[in-house]
Amino acid sequence: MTSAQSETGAAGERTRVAVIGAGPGGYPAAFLAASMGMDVTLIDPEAKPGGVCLYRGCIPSKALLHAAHVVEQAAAAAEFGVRFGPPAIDLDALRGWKDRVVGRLTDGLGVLTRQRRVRYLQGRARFVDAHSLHVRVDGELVEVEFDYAIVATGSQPARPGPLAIDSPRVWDSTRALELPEVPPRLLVVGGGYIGLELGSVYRALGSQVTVVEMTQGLLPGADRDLVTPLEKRLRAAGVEFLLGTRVAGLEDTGSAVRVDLSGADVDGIREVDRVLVAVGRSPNSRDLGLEHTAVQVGPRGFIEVDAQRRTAAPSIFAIGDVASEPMLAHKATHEARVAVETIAGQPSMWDPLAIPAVVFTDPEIAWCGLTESEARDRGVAIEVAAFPWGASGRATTLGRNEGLTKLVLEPGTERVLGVGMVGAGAGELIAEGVLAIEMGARATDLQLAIHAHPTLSETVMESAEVFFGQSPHFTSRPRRR
Amino acid sequence: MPAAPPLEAPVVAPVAAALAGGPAPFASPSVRRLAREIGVDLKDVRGSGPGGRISDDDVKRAARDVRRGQAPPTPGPAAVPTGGIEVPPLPDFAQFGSVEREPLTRFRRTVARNMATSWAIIPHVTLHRWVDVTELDALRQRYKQRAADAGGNLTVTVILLKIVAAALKAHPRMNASVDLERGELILKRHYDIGVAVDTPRGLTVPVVRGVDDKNIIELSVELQALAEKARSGDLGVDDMRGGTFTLTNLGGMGIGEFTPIINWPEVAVLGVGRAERQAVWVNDRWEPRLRMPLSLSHDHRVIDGADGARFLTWIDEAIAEPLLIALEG
Repeated sequence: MTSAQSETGAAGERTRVAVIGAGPGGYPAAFLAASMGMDVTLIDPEAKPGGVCLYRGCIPSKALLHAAHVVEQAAAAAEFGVRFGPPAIDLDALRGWKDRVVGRLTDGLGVLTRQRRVRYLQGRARFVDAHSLHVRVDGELVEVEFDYAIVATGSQPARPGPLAIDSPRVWDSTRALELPEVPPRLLVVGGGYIGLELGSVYRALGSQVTVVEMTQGLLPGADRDLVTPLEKRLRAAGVEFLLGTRVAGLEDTGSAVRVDLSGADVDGIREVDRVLVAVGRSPNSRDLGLEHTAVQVGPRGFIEVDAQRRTAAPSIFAIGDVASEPMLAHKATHEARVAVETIAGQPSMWDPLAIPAVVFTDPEIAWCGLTESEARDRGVAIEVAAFPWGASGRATTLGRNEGLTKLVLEPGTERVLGVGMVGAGAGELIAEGVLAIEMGARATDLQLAIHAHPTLSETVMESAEVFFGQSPHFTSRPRRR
Repeated sequence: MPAAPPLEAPVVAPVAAALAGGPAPFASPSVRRLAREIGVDLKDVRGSGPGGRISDDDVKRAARDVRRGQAPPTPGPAAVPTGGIEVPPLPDFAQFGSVEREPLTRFRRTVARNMATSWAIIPHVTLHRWVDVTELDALRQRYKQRAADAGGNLTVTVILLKIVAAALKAHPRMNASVDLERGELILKRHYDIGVAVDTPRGLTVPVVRGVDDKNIIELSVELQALAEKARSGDLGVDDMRGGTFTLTNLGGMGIGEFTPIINWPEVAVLGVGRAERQAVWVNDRWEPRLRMPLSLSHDHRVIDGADGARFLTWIDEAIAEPLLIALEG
């Protein structure tokens, strides 16, 4: 970075690549560009890199889910004769642990930023034109001139229409992760992964949890046979599901929240202590000064980009939640690579065959590539081979036989197009599915690769065995679609 | 400006969006990247692997077919690139006499792959021109000791490096790469010239960086060091990549004119042959002059024969009139 006197008189900086937003899209973009020898400036309102993922998303939620799993496993141990007393939950200590987890990771990113000689500006950036930004740093206006900019500003919890009330009793995911208290009655609006994960946390900590979902099923987009075991288990744990139900309004009474519900099973007012709104996230494309550039923003707020993640302004790229769905950290990280390689003149493009999706509930649900429901909607011919964990030795030793692993295969070539799983640890197992799809593996490849016994990973190999009618532990023919 | 999303927008979007545009390429990420790099559309490639999986060799074969304007043939398995020729099955050589089989080293396979790629993709044109190096050689003899004192070896190649860098500045299209996907010529503003070095393991091309910023003595020292590193096998990946043009000299081995293969993704290569003393008709009489053959191969997709000829002419004149380097280079 070199200093330059700008025309506006603001302190000026010049940089090859300005990255706006230091989440799982922005910081990998900055680090990769720096490792390629580019001069990089990384801009974020937080003191250290991390973004929503580290501060208000993936990481704190997984720390809390881990605590929830321990609580539930301790209770479940009674089944095999190991009894613990009811948990004594020290909310301040739990919150402190979660904050230390976040702090450790964001501190690490701060160190890495310095080691890679990435210039870090703490502040909010606004585009002045297609080659310069204003960044407010400690009240001072810094002008940053850039050859290329990468917008990676992420997303924030959406609060549409009747849910948009300002009340300390109505939370969004950010507030819920702060762990302010454990409300006796918590109503979660939204049966997507955020609602189910946070609902699971509060259920384990002692809340009576109700999940309200507008559509007829939880986790829209996921195959039903993967969702059913989770739904059963949560219902058995006492979580109430109101499907096909709308929230017409919310009212803070001063001591509780009155929720106006309309649906098949329920119609009328329900009173709860807290409401968690988890109905999706909206891209952070406002207040960036994009109107001073040729960048186009679509009707839902996503910045429009091409396969290189270039916007309509050739010097500006956009990646992550602000650019497209699915809003997943690892998708943003891969997009960072595509954008930076493009800037470096390499023939990069966005062409993954599989983006893993993981729901970190208990059991976990994970899938990648083509799903059965998507194949059905698009009329793609597939064959499906599934192995139920009821036939898995490892699952039985864990007392967790409710899982399922399935392969979505291309007829004729037996090529793996999609993999779906539900069960303990499915989020880790899905990695094999991603590699299989990207490498163009066929069912035979999975069948002939030795998997360790006894592990849950065997269920991947066994699914392939099922496809050929050769599973030693389960007898079934593949389904044709 | 962005509108709020509809109430209860699905939070889990379809993740196989990449498959939406038709059947996904049956190829691994590294093969897909190679296809982009050499401008092959995977839809046009028939895979030779089980179930029709596309390998890197399938992509290279397709690149060669596109160049020849042929439909892709039924592919067969190929462990080593074939240099662009559909290889018929080999006869059993043992029936004709004793044979020995020697495996290709990893290094040799890399050279084979690079050559096959260059040859498959680039329509080569090679121009030959004899240039008068009588004065240049006299100059070289005069300053040889000075270079030696600095630790270098003042060869014709070293002097040519400097002249070529100047020629590239005056002819920017020779210092370029082709981006077919975007329909653009990438003109490079840096002058990093690869020099072919013969090593015990085979051909290696270390790159001399920033040739335009260095004087000839400095270049003689650097090239000497690079060549030693190459011969001892100590070159790193960074020593060999990022070149913008290549120089190859077979003169020391008695070769005159030849047809060098362009080092893709560069667009031209200059071959240097052995200088000979020849009788030249100068000012109404025969004079013994030292003349040297230059062989320029260039990528005819972006450089026409006349462009190549002008480039060679410029080098010829710069050798005769070194001041040209300062004037135009």
